[in-house]
Amino acid sequence: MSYIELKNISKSFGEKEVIKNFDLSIDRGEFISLLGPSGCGKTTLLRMVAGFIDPTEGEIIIDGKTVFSSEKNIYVKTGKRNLGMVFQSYAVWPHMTVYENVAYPLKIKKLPKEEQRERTMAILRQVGLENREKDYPWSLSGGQQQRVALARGLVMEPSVLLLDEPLSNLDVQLRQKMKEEIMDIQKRTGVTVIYVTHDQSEALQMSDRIVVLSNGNTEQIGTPEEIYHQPRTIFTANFVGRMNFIRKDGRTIGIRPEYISVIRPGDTEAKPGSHSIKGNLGRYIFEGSRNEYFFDTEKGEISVETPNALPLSVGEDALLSWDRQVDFEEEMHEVDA
Amino acid sequence: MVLLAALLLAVLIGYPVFIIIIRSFTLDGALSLENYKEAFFDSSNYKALMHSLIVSASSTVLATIIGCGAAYFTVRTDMAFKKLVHSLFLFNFFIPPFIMAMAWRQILGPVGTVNKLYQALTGSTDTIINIYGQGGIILVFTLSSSAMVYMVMRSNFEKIQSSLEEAAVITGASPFQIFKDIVMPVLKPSIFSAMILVFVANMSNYGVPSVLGFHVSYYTLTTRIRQVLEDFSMANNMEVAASLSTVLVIITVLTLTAKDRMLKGKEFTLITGKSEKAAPNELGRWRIPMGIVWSLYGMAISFCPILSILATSLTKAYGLPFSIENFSLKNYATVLNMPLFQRAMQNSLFLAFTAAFISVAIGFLVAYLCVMARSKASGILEFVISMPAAIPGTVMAIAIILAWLRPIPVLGFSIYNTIWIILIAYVANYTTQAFRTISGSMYQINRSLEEAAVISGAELPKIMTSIVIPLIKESIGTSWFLIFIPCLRELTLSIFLWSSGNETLATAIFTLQDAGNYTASCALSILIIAMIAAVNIFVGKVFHIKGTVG
Repeated sequence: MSYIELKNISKSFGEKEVIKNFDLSIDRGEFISLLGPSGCGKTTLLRMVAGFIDPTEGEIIIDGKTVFSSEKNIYVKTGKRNLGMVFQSYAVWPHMTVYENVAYPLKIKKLPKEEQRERTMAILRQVGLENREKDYPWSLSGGQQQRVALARGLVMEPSVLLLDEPLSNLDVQLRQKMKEEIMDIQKRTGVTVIYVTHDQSEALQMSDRIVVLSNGNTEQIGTPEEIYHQPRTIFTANFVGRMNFIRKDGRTIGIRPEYISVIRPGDTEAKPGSHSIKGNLGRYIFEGSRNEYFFDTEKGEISVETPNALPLSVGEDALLSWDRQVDFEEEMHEVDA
Repeated sequence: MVLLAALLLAVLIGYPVFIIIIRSFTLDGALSLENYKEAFFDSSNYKALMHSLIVSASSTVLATIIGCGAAYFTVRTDMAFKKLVHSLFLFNFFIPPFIMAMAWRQILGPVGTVNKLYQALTGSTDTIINIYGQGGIILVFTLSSSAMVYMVMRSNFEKIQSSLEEAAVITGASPFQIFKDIVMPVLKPSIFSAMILVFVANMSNYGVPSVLGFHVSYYTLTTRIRQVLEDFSMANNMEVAASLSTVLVIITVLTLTAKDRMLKGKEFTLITGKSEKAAPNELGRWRIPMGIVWSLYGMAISFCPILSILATSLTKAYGLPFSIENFSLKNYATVLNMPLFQRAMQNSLFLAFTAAFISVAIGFLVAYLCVMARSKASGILEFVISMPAAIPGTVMAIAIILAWLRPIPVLGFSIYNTIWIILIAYVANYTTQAFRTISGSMYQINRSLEEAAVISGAELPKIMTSIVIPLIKESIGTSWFLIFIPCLRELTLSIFLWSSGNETLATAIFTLQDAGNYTASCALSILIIAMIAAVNIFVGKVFHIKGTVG
C-alpha cells in the first residue's frame, strides 16, 4: 500500500462532472505534479486531498489512514489530516510576524513554548529567514513571503505538502530560483509533495512523476522523461513541449522538433534517418539559444528545432529526416495551439 | 470656470464657515475669547459636552461589537435564518434615528407598552423602565448604528482572501480560533474606521437626544447648542452657540483626521483575484440558537419600532390599547388632508429635487476641475467642498443662520425664515456627497481612455461629452439619489431653519409630536418610511445597487 492513495475519485458540481474516476498512488517522499490547463480539475483534486471539498465518490488514504471514503462514510476534518499547504497567493498573515506565522500550527497543537521556538527557528534556518523572524510580511519580497509560506507548511512535519501554483505570482527570474529551493528543501526534508501547476517546465524540472490532466481525465501518469519522450495521448504530446503531427497510413505520428535533422540537397555525407520527408523552408524564428524552422511539406507544416543556425534560406528545399517518432492510436482532432 | 466654482463654493460653504468662526470670537463687535470662556466654564455646557462624549463613545463600542458579530455570523457561518436577519438589518436603514427614538419611547417610555404591561400585571403605578435620558439615548444610538456597522463589515468580511482562513484551517485551528487570530486582526483597520464614523455620526446627531433628552433636561452638545440659540435672555447667545459649535467641529475634525493618519498604509490588502469563497464555518448545534438570537435583535432594530408606530397610527386615539374596535385608518386620512402635511410634502419634495440637482451640478463642476482639467486650484477647491463632511448638521445650521440672517447687501432682503435658507443649507451640506461620488468615478476612468481620445484629436469638451459622461452617468444618477433621499427625510438642518409655512416632513412630525398629536405623527412617520423604502427599492432596481441609499 502506497503512502498516499486516491481511489476512484469522482467529483461533480451539480450536473457538471469535473473529475472522473481518478486513481493515483504516491510513494513516501515522492514529488508528484498535477499538470494541466485551467479547468482540468487539478486544483479541485488538490483541495479534495486537503479536505476543503469532498469527492462525490471515492476514497482518500494518507499514511495508512483513510481520511475520506464515500462508501464507508468517513470524513476526517482538514485540520486533522496533518497537511501543509502553500497557496498561490502565499496567504501569509499580514498582521503577524514571520515567526508568528510559522509558529502558528505549533501553537494550535499546543506544543510547549520552547519546542515551538526550536522547531520554528530550525525551519526558518532551512529557508534562510532566521534573521527576519521579527519582521512583518509587508517588508518582505514576494520570494521571501513564499518561503515563509513554505516554512509554515513544513514546520509541523506534515504527511504531505500541498502546493497550489505557488510560483505564478513571482517574476520569471525569481521563479527559477524558487523552483530550485523547493526541490532542495524537499530533498532535505524528504516530505511527500503534491504540486499543482499549468506550467510544464515546472513539472518537468521538479517532479518524480507527473499526472497530466485534461477535463477531469487522466491523460497520462509517468516520469518526466516518459511524459516527454513517450507521450501516450495526443493531448499530452501537445501540452508538454512542442510536437509535430502528421497523418501516415491512417495513423497519427508525432515527432518532436528537436528529433528532426535537416539535410540540404547536395549534402552527400549526411545519412538520412529511418523516416524522411521533403520540405521547403517557409519561415523561421530566432530566439538566441534556440532556432525553429518551419517547413512546408506534403503532410503540412513541420517545425524543426536546432541549437545552431542552418545554412538555409527561405524558399529552399531540404530533406527532413528522423528516427524517433511516437505512434498514436487516436484520431487527431482539433488540437488547440 | 474655476472662478465660477470658486465663487459658488465660497458663497455656499466658505462664507458660513468663516462667519461662524468669526462670530465665535466676537463679543459686542470686538474680538474676544469671552464666548469660549463661557462655553467651557459654564457647567451646563461642560455637562453637555460630557454627555455627548459618553453617549457617543458607549454606543459606538456597543454598536461595533454587535455589528461585527452580526456581519460575521451572516457572512461566515452557516447560521440559520440568515436572509431574515439580513433583511431586518437592511430595513433599519429606512428608519431615521429620530423616528427610531420616538418608536422606542412608545415602547419603553413612562407611559409606554412595557410599563403599561407591567402595571396591568402587577397593579402597581410605578414604572420599571424609563427611556428618557442617557440610557435611552445610548440604546437608540446603538440600535441605529449597529446596522451601519453591519453593512460596512459585511462587505469587508466578504472581501477577506479565503486563503488566509484556509491556511489556518489546515493547521487545525477551530472556527473560533480562526476568528480570533486571523479574521479580527486583519479587519482591525476597517473596524476602527467604522467605529470612528459611528462616533462622529452620533456626536453630530440632534434628533435622538432631542426626543429622549429634552424631557428630562439631559442635554448633549447638539441639543445644548439649540437651547443656547433659543435663550434670548442671554445677550450673546448667538456667539456662545457659535463657540459651542466650533468646539463640536474641532472634535469631529480631529477624530476624522486622527483616523486618516492612523490608517495610512494599514489597509491590509484583502481583495485578490483568484481565491474561491471559503466555505462557511459550521456552527453545529449552535446553528439555530444563533439564528434566533440575531433575528430577535434584527426585530428590535426594525420590526418592533415599526410595529409600535404602526399600531399607534392605526388606533383611534393615543393611549387606547390596540384592538379591533380601536382600529382606525382615520389618522392617515387626517394626515393626508392636513395643510401642514401638504405643505411639508411639497416643501420636502421641492427641496430634495432642487438641492439634488444643484448639488450634483456643483459637484460635477468641481470634480471636473479637480480630476479632468487638473486645475491648479484643485487643492483648495477640494478642501472647501469637503469641509461640510466634517461639520455636524447642527453646526452647519448655526453657521447658515449667522451667515444669512441679515438681508443680502445688494438685493435687500433676507432669506432667513424662507424656504431658500433651507435650500442653501441642503446644497452646502450635500455638495460634498455629489463631489465625492462623481470624482470617485472620474478617477476610475483609466487615463489611457482619455489619451486615446486626445490622440484622435478630440478637445476637452468633446472628451467630456463623448467619453467621460457616458462612462460615469450611472454614478451621476446615483449621486443624485444619494442626495434626494436623505433630503426628503432630513431633520437636523430643517429643525433649525424651518419657519411657519416652510415645514419639511421631518419637522412636521416634530410639530405634531409637540402638539401631542401622537397618532398623526405616527401615521406621518409610517408614510415617510414607506416613501423612503419605495424610493430605495426603485433606485436599487434601476441602478442595480446592492446596498441601500440614505
